[in-house]
Formats: sequence, structure tokens, C-alpha cells
Amino acid sequence: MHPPIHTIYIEDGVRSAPVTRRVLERKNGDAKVEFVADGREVVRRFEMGRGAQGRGKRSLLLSDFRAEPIKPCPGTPRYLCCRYEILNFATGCPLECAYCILQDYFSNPLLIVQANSDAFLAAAGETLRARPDRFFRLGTGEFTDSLALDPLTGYARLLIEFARGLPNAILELKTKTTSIEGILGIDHGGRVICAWSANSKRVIAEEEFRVASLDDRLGAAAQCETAGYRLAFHFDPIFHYDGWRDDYRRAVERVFERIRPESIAWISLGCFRYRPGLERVIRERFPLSSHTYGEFIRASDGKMRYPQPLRIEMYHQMMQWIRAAGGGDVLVYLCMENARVWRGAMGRAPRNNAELGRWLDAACRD
Amino acid sequence: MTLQVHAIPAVSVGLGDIGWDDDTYLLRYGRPVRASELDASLERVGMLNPPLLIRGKTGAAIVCGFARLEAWRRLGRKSVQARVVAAGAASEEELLVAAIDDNEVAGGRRLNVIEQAMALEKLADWVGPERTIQAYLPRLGHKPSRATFEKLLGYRSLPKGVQVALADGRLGEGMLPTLRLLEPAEQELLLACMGTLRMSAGTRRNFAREAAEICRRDRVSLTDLLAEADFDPAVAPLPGETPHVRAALLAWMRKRRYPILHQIESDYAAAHVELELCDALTLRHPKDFEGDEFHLEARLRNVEDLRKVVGLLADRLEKRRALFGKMFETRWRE
Repeated sequence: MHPPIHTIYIEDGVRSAPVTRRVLERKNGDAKVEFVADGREVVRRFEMGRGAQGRGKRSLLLSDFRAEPIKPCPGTPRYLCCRYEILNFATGCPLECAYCILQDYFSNPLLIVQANSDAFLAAAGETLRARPDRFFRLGTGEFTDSLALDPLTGYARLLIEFARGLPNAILELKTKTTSIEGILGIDHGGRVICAWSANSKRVIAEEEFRVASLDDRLGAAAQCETAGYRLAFHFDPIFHYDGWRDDYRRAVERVFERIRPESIAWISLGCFRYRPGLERVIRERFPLSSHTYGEFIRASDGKMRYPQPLRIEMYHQMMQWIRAAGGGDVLVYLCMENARVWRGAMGRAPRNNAELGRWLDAACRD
Repeated sequence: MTLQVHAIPAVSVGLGDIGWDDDTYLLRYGRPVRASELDASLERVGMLNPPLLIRGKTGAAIVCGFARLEAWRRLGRKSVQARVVAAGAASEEELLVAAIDDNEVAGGRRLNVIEQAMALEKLADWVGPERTIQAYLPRLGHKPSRATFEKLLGYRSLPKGVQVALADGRLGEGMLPTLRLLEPAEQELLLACMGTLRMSAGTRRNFAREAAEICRRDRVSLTDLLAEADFDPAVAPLPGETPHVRAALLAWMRKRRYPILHQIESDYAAAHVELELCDALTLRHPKDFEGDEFHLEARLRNVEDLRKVVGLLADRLEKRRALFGKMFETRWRE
């Protein structure tokens, strides 16, 4: 899948960077290219306004490195966070998921890639070396899709080669695509987990656009499994709707029909939750999406969530289906949930973020 | 350039010479004229502020003073002292600005949002959107942004009843996104419903949101939804019954919008009754059942009350522990 990029902005500082050269070689023939002295001027052009979201997703800025290379997951107050660290090589996503929180989280939809990969990875490495006592679970799938732009940028290979040499970190690439050509046949040294967002077929069909189907994602996952990667799956967001049980049970079964449980480092579960501002964006951009009309309460972190008793039941069911499908030994964790929900759904709860982090650290060191 | 209206001398104009149907400069919407008051005032003191007219090929078009001139005509007068701009002596833009000023300065009131939209619509036709945005949005009290311009112009394509409600203040702009979840005809039905039941602004907001969201979620029409609730907005409740009918409809709508929460709340309330705590004791669940902090509230007057309450709690914990457990571990089962 080639990302539908119509305009590529290149900062003067990265004109000759390898990432830039690759993008220029691989871009669509009719994609416009504009060289700019300062990318911030381009960013300003895409400040939110009518149509900015759509345009932004088709415009790519190759930026000279100036972002923080590693940032902690923003988490959410009073809910348990796994202490995932974001390897911030890109922001913005060319995929179109109606529910995507980035539409509300970022004030700007422009796709930005840190094209000066040498400087970026050097700075990231410095951050990691400064904390040899700590184990980092790095991921690139929080502020973007890890592989959606890879057919254009070829960045994943650089990230994997970087992760391979890290003594105190593991890298998770998370995607909804099948863009794995660039990561097969690389020595990853067991330091990389390939993860897919998974959802029910109905949610994928109705709410996710420009993405691969669940079966295609699982096909790509199976190829990565064969290539020796450990895998992860993220059922997030899970939606409650008439028929959700059958749909999600089937989705869970599909995962275990295609993938061996031993290859799965972890599965995360997260019910749909959102900042109230997202509602307006979804209703404007995806008027046919009906999920914001579900039953939501404003939780103590200010986000809209399904009522806690319902979430407990949904997670509990998911756990049962995972166990029944053969995933009894796979570490399953809840993303951004409170201790009460953990206990109600899973029978146990981490005492704090650090403990949850340790559970995941242990799972990826296995 | 601004037209110097006060420099134009008033002259006598026959009412038969006025083009009454020409509404080029009319900026009144959803603001009924208080005809009897205006008539009485004109009868008493006469026309203190002469209307402004523009001479055209077929007569004089009204620029400022539509209501005053109508009243003057109702009083049976044959002519009026008016300021008349000679044909071609002022641009349409200058005349409309005079009309805006007549409302906002002479009349001492802001144009409502529909009137503002009418003015912008006309100005954009005459001088183009860019000049309208830059020169006239600030004049109407807005930032000069295209988004605001488009938003205001968009109001003109709302159903007529909605425009009137916006103009007369029954409907706030903040409610429009909710209203737009409904088909145009249903938007007016919702307004009628809220009018019939005399809802306050806050109640209207919640009611509209819940009703519109149910319609979207369940793909039902508002007409069908209200029929399901056994409520006909065309039939006003008997005097004195309105609060009861309103409360019943609001409760029904809430239950229909949040069936799971409603069920959880009902189950919790039933368990609370089953616990048979005394009236002085209440076990409160976390707000919306989110989190794990329950609150035990006791109303006590003395140590003896405290002793009784503690004894009762110990007894219930002993005999109905499972029930407490059910309440603390509230879980939804379909």
C-alpha cells in the first residue's frame, strides 16, 4: 500500500538526507515537492481549519530533526499506564480512522517525519545510554502508524537496526497496514516486536479507512512470525454495539487461528475512550459514524468512557475468548484502565504504573 | 466611505411613492414589531427620526425605518418627512452600512445572528467575501475570519423555524451542532417540543442532545421517538400539568439514551433497598460508577445514634455480605 501523499515539503537542512532521497525516488509521480527553509512555516499553513485534517493527511513534511527523540506515553491521570516510551520519529497518520484520537490530540494534522535520521537516532541512543539501569519499551505507533509511511520513507529498517544494538530497550512497531516489505529479511536481533491493531470486522469496515483488513493484517503478522519477530496485538479501541460479542469473539479467534500463542509477547485491550473535543471532529468528518452516540460518562480523567461496570464486562469477555482460543499464557493487559476495572475483569491489578511496566518488560524479555 | 445620513435634509415624501415590497436593505428577522406600542408612540410624538430612502427608477426604496413607515401608514398618514438619497449618490454598500448603524447605533441594539448573516450575505454579493470579512465582521463584533463568515452565512440555510428561534434567542448557537444531527423538518419538531414543554435553557440543551443522539444511534426519526414516548408536541399539556409531563418526558428520554447506566442505577437502588439500612444511612456509589470510592453517609444527632448505626452495619455485614459485595462490584451483564 503506497500512502496517498500529494505534497511533500522538504526542509533545506534535509535536502540530501537518505530518507529524503528515498522519498523522492518512491513518491507518486504527480506528488508536488516544495523545498522550504523552515518547516514551521508549513506547519502553520495546516493549522486547524475546515478541511485541514484531510489535506494534512495527504501532505508530508520531511523535517530537520528538532523533536524530543523519546517521550513518555502521555498516559492519563488516575488510570494505570504501562510506561511505554514513544520513539518520536514521526507524527500524524495517513490512515483514516474515524475514532482516531490524534484528530483531537494534535493541533495540526500534517504528517511530519524526522528526515535527519542520523541525528534523530543518535539523540535517541544518547537518551537510552544515559539510563543504563532502566529498561525501555519503545514504540513508534502512538503518534503515527509505525509502517504506514514506510513504503515511502524506509524508516522502519533504520529503527530496527538501531533497536538491534540496544542493551536496555525493545522496540514495538504498531500498524494497521501490511507494509512489511521493508522489515522482512533484516537481522532484528530479537529486539523488535511487530504489533497490529486488531478490531472486529464491522469496526474495520465502518470506522477504519485506507487500512488493511483483519485477515490481511494477520497474514502480514504471520509473515513476520516466520521472519522470527515476536508479535503483539492491540484490541483498542473496543466498541460496544449490538452484536459486539460475536464480532469480537470471532476477531480473537481469527488471531489465534493464524498466529501461534508462543509468538505473541502481549495483547492489550482498551475500550473506546476519547477527549470530549473528539466528538465534534468525528461528527464533522465522519457523519455516518455512530459510536460517539454510545453510552459514555465523563470519567475522572476528563475522558469519555463507557460506564465502568460495562467495561469490566467487556474486558472480562475478551479475556475469556482469548483463553478459549488458546491464549491462556499470553500476557494480556488493559490500556489506561483503573485498578477496579483490572480486578473486576482480570482478577488482579498491578499496584501502580511501575509494576505494570515490569510485567510487560518481563514479557518481552521472555 | 460612510454615508453622512444626518447631513441629508428631510423632505416630504408621499407614502404612495414608496416601494413597500423592496426589502434590499431590510435587516429585521425574528424580531416582531410591537405594533401597538410603536403606533401609540408615533401618534403621541410624531416621527422624531426621519426614515432614510433611496430614490430608484420606480419610486423610493426604504433603507432605514421599515417598522416606523409601516406604522405611519397604519395611522393613515399620506406623507412622511424622510431623508432621501438621490439615485446613484450612494453605493449599496454605504446604504446597508447606514441600515446597520440605524439598528446598532440609533436603535441601540445589536443585530441578531440571522440579521448579521443577512447583512453579510448582501455585502458579500456587492463587495465580495474578502472585503466583507475584513471590513464588516469586526463591525458586527466578530474576528475577521473566514470560518466565522461561513458559519454565519450557513445559518441562512437552516430551516426557517430554526432561524427564527436563533434570532429571537430561544435557541443558542451552541445548540446548533446538536440540532444538525436531525433532518431539517425534525429540527423544527424538536424546537416545538421544547417550546410546548417550556424548558429552561439548560434543560433544552440536555433534552435536545439526548433526543438527537438517540435518533442518530438507533436510526429512528424524532417523530417516531416521540411517539414511542407517547408525547405529541402539538398538544400542549393542561395548565398546571406541564411540569409533570416535562419531567416524565425528560426521565424517559434519559433512560432511552442511557439504558445501561439506567439499569445499573436501578439494580444498585434495588440492592440498597434490600439492605434495609435505616433512613439515616446511605451507601453512595462513585459518580457514574467510575472508580472505587464509595461513600457511607450517616445522619447522626448523638452518640446513641452512632451506636445504633454501627450496630446495624455490623448486623448487615454479617447477614448480607453478598449483597454488599454485589453493590461494590457492580458489573453489567447483558
